Amino acid sequence: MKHTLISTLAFLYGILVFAQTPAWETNLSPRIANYDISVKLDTAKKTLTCKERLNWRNDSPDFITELQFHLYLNAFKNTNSTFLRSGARFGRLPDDEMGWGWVDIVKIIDEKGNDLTDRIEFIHPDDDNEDDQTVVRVALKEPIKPGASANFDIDFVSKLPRIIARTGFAGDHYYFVVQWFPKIGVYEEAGERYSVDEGKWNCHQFHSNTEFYADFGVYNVDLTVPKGFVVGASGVLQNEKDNEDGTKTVSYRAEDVIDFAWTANPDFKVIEDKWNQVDIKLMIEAEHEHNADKYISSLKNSMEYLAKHVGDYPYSTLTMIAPPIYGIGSSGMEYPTLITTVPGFTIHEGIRQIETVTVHEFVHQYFMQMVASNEQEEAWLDEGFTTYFENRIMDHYYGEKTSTTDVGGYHTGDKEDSRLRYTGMKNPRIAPCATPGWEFKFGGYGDIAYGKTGAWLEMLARMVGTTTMDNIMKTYFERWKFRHPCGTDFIDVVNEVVAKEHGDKFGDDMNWFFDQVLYGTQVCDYKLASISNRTQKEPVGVFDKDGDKEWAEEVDQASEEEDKIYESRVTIQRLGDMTMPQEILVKFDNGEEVREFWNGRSRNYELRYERPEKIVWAHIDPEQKIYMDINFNNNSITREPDKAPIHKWASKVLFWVQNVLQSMFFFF
Amino acid sequence: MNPISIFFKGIWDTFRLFRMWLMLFLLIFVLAATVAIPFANVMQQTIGNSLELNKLLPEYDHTVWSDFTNVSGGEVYSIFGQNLWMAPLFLLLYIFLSGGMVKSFDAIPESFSFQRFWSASTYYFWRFFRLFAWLLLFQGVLAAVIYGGAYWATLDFDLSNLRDETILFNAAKIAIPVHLFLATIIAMIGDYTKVRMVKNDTYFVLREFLRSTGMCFRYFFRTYFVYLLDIALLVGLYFLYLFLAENIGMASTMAILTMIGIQTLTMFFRLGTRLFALGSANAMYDKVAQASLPVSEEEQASLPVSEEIVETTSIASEPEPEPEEEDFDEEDQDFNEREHITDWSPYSRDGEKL
Repeated sequence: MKHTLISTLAFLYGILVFAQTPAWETNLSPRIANYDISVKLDTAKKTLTCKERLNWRNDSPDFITELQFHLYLNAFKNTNSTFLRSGARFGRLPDDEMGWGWVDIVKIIDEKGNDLTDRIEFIHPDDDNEDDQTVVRVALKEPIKPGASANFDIDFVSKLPRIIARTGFAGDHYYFVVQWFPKIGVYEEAGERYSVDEGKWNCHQFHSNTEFYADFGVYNVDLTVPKGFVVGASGVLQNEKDNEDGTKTVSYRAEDVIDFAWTANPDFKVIEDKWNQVDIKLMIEAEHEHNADKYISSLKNSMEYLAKHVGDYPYSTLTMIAPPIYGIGSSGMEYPTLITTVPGFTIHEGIRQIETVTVHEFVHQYFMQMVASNEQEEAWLDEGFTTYFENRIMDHYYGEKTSTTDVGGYHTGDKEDSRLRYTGMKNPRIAPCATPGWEFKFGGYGDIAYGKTGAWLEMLARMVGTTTMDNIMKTYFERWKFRHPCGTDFIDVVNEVVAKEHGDKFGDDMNWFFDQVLYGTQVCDYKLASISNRTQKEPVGVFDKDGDKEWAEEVDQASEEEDKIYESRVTIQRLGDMTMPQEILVKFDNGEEVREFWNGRSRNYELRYERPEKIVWAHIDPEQKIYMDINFNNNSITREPDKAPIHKWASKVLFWVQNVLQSMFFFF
Repeated sequence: MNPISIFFKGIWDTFRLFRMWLMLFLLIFVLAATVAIPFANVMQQTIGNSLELNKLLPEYDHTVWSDFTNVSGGEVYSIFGQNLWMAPLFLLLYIFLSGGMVKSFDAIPESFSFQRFWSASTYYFWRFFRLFAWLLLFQGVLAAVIYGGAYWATLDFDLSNLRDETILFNAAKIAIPVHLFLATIIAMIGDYTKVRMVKNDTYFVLREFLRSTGMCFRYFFRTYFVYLLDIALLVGLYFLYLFLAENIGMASTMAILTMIGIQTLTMFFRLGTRLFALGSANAMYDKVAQASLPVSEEEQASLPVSEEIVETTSIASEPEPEPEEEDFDEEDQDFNEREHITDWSPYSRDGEKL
């Protein structure tokens, strides 16, 4: 009995201890940067008057003597910002004061009451632009010890710009509020990502090509807006109360996220749905409501696919914003548990813009919301991965050749679109994938970060097989979710999983692959240069035989057709500077197909056969595994080409040119 | 003046000018072939022996096509660029040939003569070019007024005022039909002006345009109905083509050959609908002119009118000279008496052709 009592008490104690375990230890993420923010929206001035309490934990072994913050909205303060100096096109610059945006830290106080406001200093870690005000450093009066947390009270005012780079206001009452508060940078300790020797702040300026990088945390945000506004935000709605001054305060809590975004618009309708345990909200204006199903079904498709091929979506909400047409500048962006897609007007059912963008932005919930890589330094880790899964999801649900466009005989698939985005570049060697976003000064950022990465991930999947690729992605996701991986962390996972599943089939590791596709600018182009079939002939000329000279003349073998042996050759050329292993399929006129393998390294390669059959055609990489090959059309040659396709397309050209000419009748 | 019979007369007269029709078709065909043949050559040279080419047979393949244009885009787009230049040059040529076309209709029942065709093309070119300039101006102003008006009414000339794109769709639902309606009226008046200018051999383009406008509006339902029938025929032709293209496809050599035949016929008859419209305008004009002409039997007999007019003239010479067309009513007579000959008829009060 006593034993039973002790056991029971021990059990109850155990429960009690477990229940009292600090919350962050059982949470999804380390919760480094936590914010309590109260916001009041002034719709007349387009300003947010805010009070922010930041709780930041020093997770490093270093003593932290300064904090660094992003002040993203200052990118839109004037044309001296690094963002606007980059020359990127984000539409027309504002022609009135109201159109510009900025953020001012009015006061910052540490938890001991020290006013640090005078210690705020603008810094520009990426360039020499002293006028850029998107990053500040605040020198602390007392350092934060390793493992300690510190609180800071920050009063700030954000002036929202007319929507630019997704953020701001449009029209009289649409607000999409993102990149809006002083957001602390990421302190990376020595050994974390690329901080090799010592810990340092990773807090880049806001560049036109780059996005964000932040620590996980909990956000408690009270939004005070006019009473008639419909509000949507990251996280879960906690409370909504009306105020006496004609406003209402809506409270949200978002846990284990790296950012907080919100929107307000009196014209939004909210359509609710559910997928497993996830509450889905679609915020859409009435004129687009008829397309609600496109948003919701494509979102559910994405959720289903990613749960199966990557991992679970752990949050309980997902809010989708379908911006109004006048807020189109806020389209296509990802924030934790909140995404914007595109305005929902119908052009043609076969143009799947809504679905494509919805899928893309949802995939971002995995790649950089949960697997929180550094978007600024390694855009390929989120945009490229997202493109890769967007391609897979779109092609899976909407057809490999019809997933993005299917109109009147013209159709395109999402995967092929992504490949063509890279292969169609004027200069596919413009920069390696691993280039930081702001260093794409001569263009190519989107095509490389999205298109090229999507293409080489697809190539990797085709080489190692989809099952192995899924295991790579699952391992990478499980290992790095709610952490900050870098490119080498992904490569390590690839090397580990490929070695486990394929042994040394691809060599000791896959570094040779990444050296080319990720860190190099090589272009892949193999060409099947020629096929030939020549009748094998006996040697002719003068030969030494038994001390004499014997002349052998050419023998006419025409009469010996049945005994003919052909010397057949297939010549392959490597036109590009990328080397990839190749499979070559050769078909003979007896119907036999022979598959050959070549390491793809030499500039020229020849296959030679002596057989009674002639080669009909030969095809390098017949399954198109080497998906980055910039020209699939030169991968094969046939001796029996079918001219019908040429006749077909030439006749189409003939027909439409006649139509164009006859259209001139309209003018006279 | 039954519009249906006028419409069919336009078609019939076009068939009587089959040689002209065929010549014009061949001209357009050859011009188009100067684009299509080099295009086929580029395809043959670059992917003619590739197995990937087969993917373009059953349907469009975006990867094959894009890889082709990535490699051969310069050549392909320069070939297509030719077409962009060819279109305005063809328009100029078409303006040149229009004189011959209208004159050939005017000369019916005489058989088609290449000599007459070419000499009339040369003879009327400059005045037809001026007419083209006026028509282009009118069409431009019309488009600017309608779409500019719609832009002003919906967005006050500022796209940033757009709050709901459905307003644009709704505006387009009104503006496009209104524009099409008015643009086809201008085009129709243009046809009647050409007919007038040839029949009257006049240089005064704007005056003839205004007189044609008067005539078209006077007999609006008839003239526009005939014109609409021609447009309907054109639209029907394209529906038929799309139906056949959809059902036949181009996935085999036989289907491709069949579709080439259908495309050729479609283009031939598309050109035909343009000629039908000119033929109808010519016939309508002759009908109106004949009906308004108080001339003697002898004078009438000497006029260069169509067979049908000769026929009606003989009917008119019967003891009871009532207007012979079943729908030539008092209103027409009033109009003829008021504005009569000098306004829009090709004939003087004495019945002599101007």
